[in-house]
Amino acid sequence: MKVKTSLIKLEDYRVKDDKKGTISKVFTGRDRGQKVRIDSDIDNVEANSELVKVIIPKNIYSINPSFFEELFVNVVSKLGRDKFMDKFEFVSEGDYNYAKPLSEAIDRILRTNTALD
Amino acid sequence: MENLFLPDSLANDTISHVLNQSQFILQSPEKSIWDILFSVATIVIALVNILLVVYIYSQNNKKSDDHNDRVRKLRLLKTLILDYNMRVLYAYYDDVKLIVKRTQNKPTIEEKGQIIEELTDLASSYRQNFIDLFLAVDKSLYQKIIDNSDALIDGLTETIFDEGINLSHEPKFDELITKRIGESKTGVVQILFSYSGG
Repeated sequence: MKVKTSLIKLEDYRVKDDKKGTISKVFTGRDRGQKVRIDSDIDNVEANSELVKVIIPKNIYSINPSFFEELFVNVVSKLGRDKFMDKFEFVSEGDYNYAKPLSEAIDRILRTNTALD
Repeated sequence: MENLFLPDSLANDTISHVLNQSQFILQSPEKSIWDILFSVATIVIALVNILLVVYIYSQNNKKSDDHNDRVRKLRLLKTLILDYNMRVLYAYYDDVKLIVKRTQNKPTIEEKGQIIEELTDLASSYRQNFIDLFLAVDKSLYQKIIDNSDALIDGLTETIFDEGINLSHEPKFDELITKRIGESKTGVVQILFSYSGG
């Protein structure tokens, strides 16, 4: 039995520096993407949900393709672009426009998967 | 190829020696056990020699195939990609330098966002026109170059949005921006230079 809608809040995965009292306003890098993929258990969440909502918090200045690529590598490889876009709904709580870096990340995942070794 | 393994004449001698020894055993039942053991040992040694010849021959063939494949990959890399596309690499780094220069003019958060968006678009175009081509030659080479490109864009993004860094200060700009771009460019050339086709 699948859950109707699951939420992945990127707010929960921002890097916080408690000493300085700062919080990261960018999501960059494959390492970070991989950590969020594992911590959020996104691959299982996708498998057990009809719809997955990804919430992008306020005060985010940039989410780079390297981060998105590693975060979504398994689900995009599994679903392909169209089904991924149908199943994953992105909600930006601020005014950050995630569309271009997300599209670039999907391109990269699919390009690598179809290339000859 | 004769110098790489035993010559034909030696192999023929070995085989005829084995046959002679076999006939000797069959025709001389009255020989002592030691003679028979000696003959069997000779046959075993001869057979091991033959197996060794076959093994050395197949190993040399394999090495030769691997070497030829590496040479073929290097030629393809040069003729299909590097001869026509190195200019894309140099133009990319020139354009990155041009875009990030605007960070010296104390940009607002919105302007910084615009700078990063332009850098991301540029990196995407660089990937399509240069990096993706390496997928046709060697996937690990592609991965190294795209990792290099990501490290540059991610590093610039973090630096540009770091409110504690004053990029209008020339030495800081050189240290955190100009140097990083130069290292990234050298890194790609280094990756290409060290590629041996394997």
